[in-house]
Amino acid sequence: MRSLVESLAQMLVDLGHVSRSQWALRLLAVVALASAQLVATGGDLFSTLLPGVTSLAVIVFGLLQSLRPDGPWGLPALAAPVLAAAGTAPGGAGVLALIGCLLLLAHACWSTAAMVPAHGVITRGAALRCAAWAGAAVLLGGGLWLLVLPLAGARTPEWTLVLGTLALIALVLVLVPRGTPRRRGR
Amino acid sequence: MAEASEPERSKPPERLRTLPSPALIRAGLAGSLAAVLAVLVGRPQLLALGLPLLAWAIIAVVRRLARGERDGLLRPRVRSTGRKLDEGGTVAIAVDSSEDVLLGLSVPVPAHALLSPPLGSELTARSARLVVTAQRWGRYEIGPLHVALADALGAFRTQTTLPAVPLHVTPGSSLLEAPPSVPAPTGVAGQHLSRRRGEGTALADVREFQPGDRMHRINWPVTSRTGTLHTNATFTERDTDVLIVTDTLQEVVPTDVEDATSLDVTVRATAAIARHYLSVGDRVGVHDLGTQIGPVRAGTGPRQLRVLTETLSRAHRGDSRMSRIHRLGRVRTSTLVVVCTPLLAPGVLGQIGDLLALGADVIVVDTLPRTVGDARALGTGARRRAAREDRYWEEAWTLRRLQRERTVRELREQGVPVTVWEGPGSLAPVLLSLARAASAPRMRRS
Repeated sequence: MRSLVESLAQMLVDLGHVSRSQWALRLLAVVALASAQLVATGGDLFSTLLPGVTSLAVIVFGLLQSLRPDGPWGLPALAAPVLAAAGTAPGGAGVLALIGCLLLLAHACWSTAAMVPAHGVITRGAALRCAAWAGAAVLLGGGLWLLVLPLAGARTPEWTLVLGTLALIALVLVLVPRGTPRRRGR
Repeated sequence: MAEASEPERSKPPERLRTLPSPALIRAGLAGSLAAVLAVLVGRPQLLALGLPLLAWAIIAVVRRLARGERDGLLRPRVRSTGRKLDEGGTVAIAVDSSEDVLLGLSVPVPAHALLSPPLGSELTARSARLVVTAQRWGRYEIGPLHVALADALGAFRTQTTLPAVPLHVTPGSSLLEAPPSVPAPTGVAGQHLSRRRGEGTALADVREFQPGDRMHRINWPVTSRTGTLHTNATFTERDTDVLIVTDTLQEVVPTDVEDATSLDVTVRATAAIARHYLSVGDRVGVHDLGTQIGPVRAGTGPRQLRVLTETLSRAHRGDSRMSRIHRLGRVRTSTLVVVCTPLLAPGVLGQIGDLLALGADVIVVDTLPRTVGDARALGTGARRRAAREDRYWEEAWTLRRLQRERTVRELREQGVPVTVWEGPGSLAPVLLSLARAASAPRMRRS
């Protein structure tokens, strides 16, 4: 009993050492994941077997992954809302894109939090940089979406093809490094 | 800022090979799962679930190829604003990468130092900065520095360990609040007033003019009043030898590790006394009865102060073994000897007796920490903890302190002043009483 109390006390002390930025990132990841599951199941988390099982998986694996952001539990945590959405068909492409963006948000938060220990402070610059690249991923995802849908045979307006191509070109331009040309030796 | 080391600068930049992180694998697999489901179910809209994650993974891979990061990332460099600082001083250590990366730095928190960020871990873009405030003198090793480098998404990463940054913290620079007078100056020229008459500024007497007296010393008011030439006689001003004897035979550590140990008190007292006498031009040396500080030859001036403080800052802390006493064989008569000791080892008392027999003016500075064996602390939190473990250290130390009182009384009876080190004002009353005793009239014994 005494050792149990002591281990619990130690756990509380350890929690006190977790930095604010880590708390924020991990909580944001949990909230984003839970929201994705909520949208995927249409708001009823435990209505039938599939939403129930996937919701349970989201809770368990999401918390495990948030405790250890570098752990392997992120994959089942992200897969659960995907399976739930595939099974329940919550809505149109817009709703599915929203779920995808929420999953990306959870994933990016874990990815950033995994770079330093729990007591590590994450500076604003580093957080903004990660957020900017996540935004770029959303853009590229949107561009790919607009390209892939016509190719898959879905009916879409023709301008979406142009928009998708432009988004892809813009991203390639962003990604290509622009260093200053080297000077020739004297 | 200073570079980590010269050889490191001359080497070609080393590259650290990056590997896919679990995040990249997670994004790729979760995104692919949505694509597979879209194909299996026959609903292309399901692709929207996985496209952001897939796009994130694609950007990471394309970015790596486009920036030539397949060869790895450049090894980060360590810089610091200095390697030597005073007690309570601050130094900044920076870890820089020349590439557009995320840089995670983690450092074990050293004892008796404050870090910013407080627990020594930070994730930044390109350059991490660690501010260290040293709370005690001595040698510090900040590190090893664990550095994690990743691309801007955290998809490919690597890690390395950089060597610890050594810091030398010199003892606090408090100035002793004591008169510059010493009982018996022995040198040729200096600032202490001696009892010998000669060239100086302090008036000793007004006497009749003698051949050889300097003209500017003629006291004209007395001459005109008496009708015969009178001159001012002055006392000479001399320097002296100051020897600080340190007792580091054993380091006495208080129950609370944040409190100063006997070695801390000894080093701070030695630094303050040396600084005081060196500033008035005296020759100061150190003799260590133990082995933790080591001897410093007598010298004078700012260079000697630098040598002395560096030697003190290199003292070995935490060696709890009792070492053999290194006795001082000889000392010049009338040397001012300040013995910094916790007065626990019997050999030290014998050494004090020898110094007195050699004609030295001895002052004892008590360096036993106040919290060790403090009878008032019995029954407080620390005592209760120890009692639970069936240990009676506090009671034992209280008895030892009471035994020590007898030693202190005996020393005082033999004319050796004993003063407890309580900061820069500790020595003033002792030095004043010594100077007074030296100038007092003496009874001749035949």
